[in-house]
Amino acid sequence: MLLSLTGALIGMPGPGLAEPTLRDLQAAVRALAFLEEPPTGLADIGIVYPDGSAEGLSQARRIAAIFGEGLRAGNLTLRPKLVTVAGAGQAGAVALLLTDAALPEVHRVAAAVARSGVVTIAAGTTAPEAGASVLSVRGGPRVEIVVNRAAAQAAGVSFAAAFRMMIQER
Amino acid sequence: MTRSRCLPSRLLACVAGILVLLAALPALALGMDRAALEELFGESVTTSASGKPQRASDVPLGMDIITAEQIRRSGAHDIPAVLARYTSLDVHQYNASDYAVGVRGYATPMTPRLLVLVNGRQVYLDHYGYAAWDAIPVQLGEIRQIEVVKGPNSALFGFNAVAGVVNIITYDPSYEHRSNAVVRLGTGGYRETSGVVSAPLGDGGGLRLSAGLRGEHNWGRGYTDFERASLDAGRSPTRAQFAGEAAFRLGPAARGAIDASFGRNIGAPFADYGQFWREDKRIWSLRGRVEANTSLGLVEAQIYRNAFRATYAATPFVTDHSVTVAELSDTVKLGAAHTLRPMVEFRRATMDIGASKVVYDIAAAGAMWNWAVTDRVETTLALRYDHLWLNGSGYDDPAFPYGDRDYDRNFGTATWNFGLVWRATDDDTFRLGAARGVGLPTLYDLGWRDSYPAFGYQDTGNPYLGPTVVTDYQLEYRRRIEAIDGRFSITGFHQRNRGFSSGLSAATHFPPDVAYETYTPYALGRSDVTGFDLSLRGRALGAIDWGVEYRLAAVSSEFRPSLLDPKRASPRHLVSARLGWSSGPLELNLFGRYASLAQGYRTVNEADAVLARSKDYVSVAARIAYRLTDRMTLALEGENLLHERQEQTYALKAERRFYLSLRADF
Repeated sequence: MLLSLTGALIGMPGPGLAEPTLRDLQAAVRALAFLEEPPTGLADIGIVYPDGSAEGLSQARRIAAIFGEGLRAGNLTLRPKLVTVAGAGQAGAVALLLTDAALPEVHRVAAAVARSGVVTIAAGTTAPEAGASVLSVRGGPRVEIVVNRAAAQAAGVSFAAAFRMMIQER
Repeated sequence: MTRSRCLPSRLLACVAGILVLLAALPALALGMDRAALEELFGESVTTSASGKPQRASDVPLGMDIITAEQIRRSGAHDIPAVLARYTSLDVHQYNASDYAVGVRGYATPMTPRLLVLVNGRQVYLDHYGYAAWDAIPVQLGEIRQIEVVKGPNSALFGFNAVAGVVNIITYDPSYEHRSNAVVRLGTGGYRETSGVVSAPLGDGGGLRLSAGLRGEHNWGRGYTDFERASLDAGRSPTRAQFAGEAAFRLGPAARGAIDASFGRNIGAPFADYGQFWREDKRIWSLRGRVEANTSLGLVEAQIYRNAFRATYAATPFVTDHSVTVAELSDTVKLGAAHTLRPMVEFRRATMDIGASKVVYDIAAAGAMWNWAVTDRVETTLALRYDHLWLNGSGYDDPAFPYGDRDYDRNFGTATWNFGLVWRATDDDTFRLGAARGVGLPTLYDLGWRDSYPAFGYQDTGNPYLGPTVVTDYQLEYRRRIEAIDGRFSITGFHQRNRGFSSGLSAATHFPPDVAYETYTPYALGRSDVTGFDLSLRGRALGAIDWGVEYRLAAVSSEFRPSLLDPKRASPRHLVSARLGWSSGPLELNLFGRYASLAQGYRTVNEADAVLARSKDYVSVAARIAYRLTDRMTLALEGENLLHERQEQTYALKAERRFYLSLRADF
């Protein structure tokens, strides 16, 4: 109810968009705990939107609202930070969550954080089909996680062996 | 003897070599945090299906997983009673503390067909081929989940996983802080106290300790005069159990653990030939484990030794049994879609009955291959070859048909499992499985020997007795149903069994070939079982959870005559239903079970047995609990509530009993 109210205040998603839900985001944060070198403590997650895109900024704000003061998984708490595609390389975040509007520019974002250990994430109903980010996550009805091996290698990250055996890799 | 003494040192050297090897491999991050994976995927995770870590919804064979919360709310104080309340497994309770548990039929007393493990360590007893459920050194409060594999899984676990596997998983002290204590008093003189401490310690280490003491009066009706007068069968059962595990980090990507247990149980188990006999058994275990996440995959090694000693009423016989197992496996994901798990295992099992001793060594190698064909289709194939060397000493006696030379033999056999999982939609899953499992003759069947000249007969094991071979096919359809916040599944199965030991139930050799009429085990023949499992479970209103399980098992057989009757040992129809409700500090749980008739032979004196039947029955159990504080829960539990005494098996009459328990969680 609170989230719906928040969504109404900051603008609901336009028709046809599949923005991430709280379940999607929780799954994404939890998945980060299975990095070989997982981030811990309080850290930033960049919510990436296209430069100059009002719709992208609106999406990013809605996602940030879901994060609230931060989403926690184990000993990691991720705090949202709005980032443009151009500013992704200097965001100082441990992960970058791409809005739908920013997904077409995923390769530009990936290039900006290549070999830096920053995980690019797509989350939401259609995320697993997108697959160009390091991590694509859907929280329900069944949790689906896809890791793009090439993108992970380019980003300089790897996941724990047991985790890799329980997800899809491409 | 020399060979036996050398064995532990060879195994220790082997483990040391593995440790050196692991230390030399490039290190990655460590292992498998079940709690974190469970939170991520929203469902249980397991390695009992294929050896590979998997989500419960992805396993390639039929499996039930009972969670810690379900165990807590079951109100049961024995693992088989928990299984009876949440699954359609065959669960026969013969007296206050003795159970047999089977999967899809053939659940004779002391059934040899179900392999039982604790965290992957076998607690199944090879000497008689059964699980002594009352002697498993685990308190219910330390169990994270009970994993039940329905169908053969010899290709992963080796011999004796023929009808299924129960792998009891405890909390991992490296990751989980769970401590609790239980005091329970009840009618029938029941008194129990148990405690569990599981806590992470230091960097990546942890400690788990548990202990339990229990005693009660045995059920009172249904003994034969001979059992009461000569076999002390009515003795009140008691148990004392202790277990501990210390886990420690061996480097940035490896950890080790040592666990040990001891238990002493005095009771009167119901033997396969239909007789209660007081037994005093002591069981020890010691295990070392290493797991490492290396560039070559998830490498796991373990070595353990279980030891067993039992004495009995009315006989000076002592049974000493031990099993020593060393295993090494590597689970590695190759590319994006393939997971391989090669493994090797060595096993030695011995039974020493004083004048004679039987030993077998088993060397095994195998591999599992899992292929994610598409995002929605997965196949799993596991193959394993076991070779057994049998040896016996102390059998040279002209009064018997077999001597030491007959025990000098070996044989090998292959087992396999194939599974195909197709997640047709987000809600619909089909699962096709086929498997070949092998059950070894027990050490008792191979090497028991005794003589009763006063009664004119003698018993001896049969070193030529072959294994039981099972081929199994199953097809499951599972659907998630949002409307009931639950799921429906139906699994059809067909299984063919060849073998089945008769035990020492019929005379096979006669004078003048032998000194006395001689009883030896032989293969009973062939049997098929066909049927299906139905399961429907759901939640409602955030406070109610419910489930119904039904199992049909139609058995046909071509058995030679004997006084063992696997065909009708299990009911044809089984229904298990449950309803739970909670609100604030209050919890209510109700469990019902229906079983159609079953039968078996009941030994009535020193030599005679009669066919006995138990009619169909309905039993009810319940629990009502009130949370006194955040940490303390008071519960009233009852079992067999419909009758003061009820015929549920052809052994003793089950008694209605009530319990009051106080549990503290820290």
